[in-house]
Amino acid sequence: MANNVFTGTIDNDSTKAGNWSLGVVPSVGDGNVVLMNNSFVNMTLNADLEFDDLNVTKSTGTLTITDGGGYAIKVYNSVSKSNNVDITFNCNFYVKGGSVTMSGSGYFNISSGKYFYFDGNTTIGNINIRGGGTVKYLSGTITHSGVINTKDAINFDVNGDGTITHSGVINTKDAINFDVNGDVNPSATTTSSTGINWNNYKHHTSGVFKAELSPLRVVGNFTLNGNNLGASSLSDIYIGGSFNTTNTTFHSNGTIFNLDGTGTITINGTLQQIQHFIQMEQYSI
Amino acid sequence: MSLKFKATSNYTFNTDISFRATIYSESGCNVNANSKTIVLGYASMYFNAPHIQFYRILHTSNTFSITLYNNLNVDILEFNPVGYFYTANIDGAYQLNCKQFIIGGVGDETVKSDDITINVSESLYIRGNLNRKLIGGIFTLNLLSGATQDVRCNASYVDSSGGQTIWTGINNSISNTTNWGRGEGNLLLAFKKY
Repeated sequence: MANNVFTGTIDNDSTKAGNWSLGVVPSVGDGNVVLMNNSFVNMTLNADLEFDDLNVTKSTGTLTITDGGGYAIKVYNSVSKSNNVDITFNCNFYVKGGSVTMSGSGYFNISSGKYFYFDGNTTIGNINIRGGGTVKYLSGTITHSGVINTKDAINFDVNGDGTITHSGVINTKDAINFDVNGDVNPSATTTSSTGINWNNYKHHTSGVFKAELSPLRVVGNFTLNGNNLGASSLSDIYIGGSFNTTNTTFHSNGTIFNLDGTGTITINGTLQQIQHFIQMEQYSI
Repeated sequence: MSLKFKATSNYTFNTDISFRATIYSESGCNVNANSKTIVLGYASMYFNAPHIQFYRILHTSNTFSITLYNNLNVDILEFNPVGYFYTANIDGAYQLNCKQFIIGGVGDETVKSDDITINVSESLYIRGNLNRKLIGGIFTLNLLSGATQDVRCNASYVDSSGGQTIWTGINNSISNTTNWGRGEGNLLLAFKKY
């Protein structure tokens, strides 16, 4: 098994063999690993780039993968990432199965309008995703066992096919929008075949989180960390464990936090309805 | 913004809660207030939680309102303003059952209601004002048998016919009240003593 690095010797075109260190464009079953190290340069996808294994070790600078015309990266076996550098995907990214693990503080930065798909039986450890894109679960048995960190304006979406289990914690920062079809049944578990029931959920910083199109279910504990948080959900939020806030002034519109399990309520700060002010002005004729 | 305690819920308050929104409860829920306080403040608070025995509901600042969409049960309902001349409005044609009803603090607070019925079962302490909200309304405050009282307040349009006579200070004013008196209760006790 050899590492194949996009060195861009010719140009930034992903389809040219001469741009790759092994002299061959990666493919499924080629026995190689696509290595995003410090020698890997910005790349433009001019076709779908499909291969088995991706290892991201880049530790300095930036790296952007650009969609040259509706193309995607599709990884069939394993995705691993270490170090603290963000990788920007201005293209769709598919995990077609296998495993995903990340360490360090770097993120996969999914650009607005682009998708990070889980599409196949996948085991997910720690994962960091940011940007304005969408994490979408298409199919397969998907097991989250680590920590999910998000920030910026990430969306979470499910297709409803497959089974998803979440046993870790999801940490969200900034704005986040869920359409994950959480189970409103009080006996909901962290395994769902119709959506995602998060195990433990923590929201940080001042971003507004939303469950606009379907309920958000947290089977375990729900925690709000940070000041001036808000929610503007059209759908309700269901919590099966403890409800905690830390130094939080939490503003919300009509969002209902349904507590239907067992736990404690710890409120450090204030929970309040969003106030709407109508300014009246008087004019003299 | 609402907290809804579903029928299956089994929760304990770990801290006081500063809350300016809505609390719901469903029949069957098990909520332990754990001697913690619901702290009211600027803006409104709504209760539709007849299945919860709250320990203490406290108002300390700003004009605000409580609206009931069902009966409310609380050990201590306390208005303890840190500023002067606040007004607290209580709305909703329901029973507000409390063990202790307190209006104190520094501020000569006025508590108004037209349709609520407040039942006090242990003690009544008022240093403020009671009044109706609108013309035609009546504030109903019942001091139940066995409860004690220490009242120095002005009262208008207050009906306390559902319990003991409420005695306010001789220098306070009462108008359009039922089962209220000024000072006589204390004077009568003096006659008995001597």
